[in-house]
Amino acid sequence: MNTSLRVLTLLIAGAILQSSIFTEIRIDGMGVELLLLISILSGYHGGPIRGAYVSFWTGLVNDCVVASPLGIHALIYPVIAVAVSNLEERFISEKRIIRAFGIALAVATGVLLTAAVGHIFGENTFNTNSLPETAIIAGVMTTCFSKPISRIVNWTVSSGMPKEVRAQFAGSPR
Amino acid sequence: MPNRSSDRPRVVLLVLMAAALTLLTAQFRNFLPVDDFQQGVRDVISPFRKVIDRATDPFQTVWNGIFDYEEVSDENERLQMEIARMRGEGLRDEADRELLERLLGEVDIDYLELQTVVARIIGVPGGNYNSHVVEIDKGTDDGLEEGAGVITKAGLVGYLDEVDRSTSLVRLATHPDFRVGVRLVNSQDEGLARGNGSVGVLILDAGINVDAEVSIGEVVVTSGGRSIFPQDIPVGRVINPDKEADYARSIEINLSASLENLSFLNVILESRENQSK
Repeated sequence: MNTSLRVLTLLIAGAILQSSIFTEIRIDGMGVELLLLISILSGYHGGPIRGAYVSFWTGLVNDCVVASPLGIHALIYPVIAVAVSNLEERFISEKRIIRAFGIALAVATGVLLTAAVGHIFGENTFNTNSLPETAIIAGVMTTCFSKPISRIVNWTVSSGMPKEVRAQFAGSPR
Repeated sequence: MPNRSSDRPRVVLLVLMAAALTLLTAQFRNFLPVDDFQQGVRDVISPFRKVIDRATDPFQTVWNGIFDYEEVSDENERLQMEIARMRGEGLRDEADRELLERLLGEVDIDYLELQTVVARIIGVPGGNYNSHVVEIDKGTDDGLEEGAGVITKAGLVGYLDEVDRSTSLVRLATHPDFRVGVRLVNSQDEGLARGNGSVGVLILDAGINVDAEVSIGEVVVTSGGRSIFPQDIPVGRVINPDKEADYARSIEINLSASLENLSFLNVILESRENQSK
């Protein structure tokens, strides 16, 4: 299966899950940002360029699912994906808890940035009094699903990319 | 010499952002293919979504049982009180009927005769932003059109914001972008009311004179005219007439329909003017 087909399948599956079960899984009205998570992980696993393309389409699909003006999420998600991709090298050797915190932070940032852009474009419901609370809870809830989603996104966006090269220096332990 | 490999992501990012801004501009200029694309995506995923919804229903019930227990408990208590109240009202019904018919005649309200489609609420849209919007299980296949008014027996609820083949999104009257022309039944003053994001409250702050006589409890109905709503649909009652206002009045109206506890809605198929043709 080529990468485009994999990405298309991932986006459709993500859209279905986001608009069905993840609409119901809410705490105090706040829910999981599955498509934002896919964008973040596509930047993490696929690099800045592939991550930007995948997250752009993910943003468009999210705009359709949540019925927001087409382009609002697509404007923010590539920025988040490229930012995550640029920071990836610094976090890859960190402990799992640090990486989880990084994902939660990226989700919260995505929620806040989308709200800011939505507000600029006249979407009054995007910027509410409970926005910081929403960003934090959405970040934590979304991070809980990051492990299985990460494997799927990795399989989706890494096809055709060079395998990881491990450098081995003379005299160093294998 | 510039580093081309590190520049390329920036170029890609800028191109994608420009594309997103172009789409946003097209959307705000009501470029139809953009709406069609969104509607098409929702139509494609809709059948799969229903299957997933059904398959995960037990899990959703458990989740709601854990995290919304207090809400369910409160709702149960409220419904029991409602049943008790309705039993009491049932006894008074006969005596009140004559009075009710006389009142409806006085204000010329016959909105219950409107041709409507009954729709069931199936949830709220995904994501964390769409408050004051609910999704219903009827769409263009059932004859619904964008902009159609939505009511209950208690009164105004909102209007259809997005209509897909089998589902639609209802923008509730409390949505900050909701506007409706209203008439105060006693004074016959007309103005424009808007949602302000507060639960169950509309703000009437345009069209009413500072010195107009408005009393607490006064009934407010839709004014009709060029509005998408036929006239005389009950909106609610005045809870704060803002009599102290010096410059511009901001009258608060308590909606007669309880938007937090909706299960079924009536979507108006056509206005009374069209029906009489």
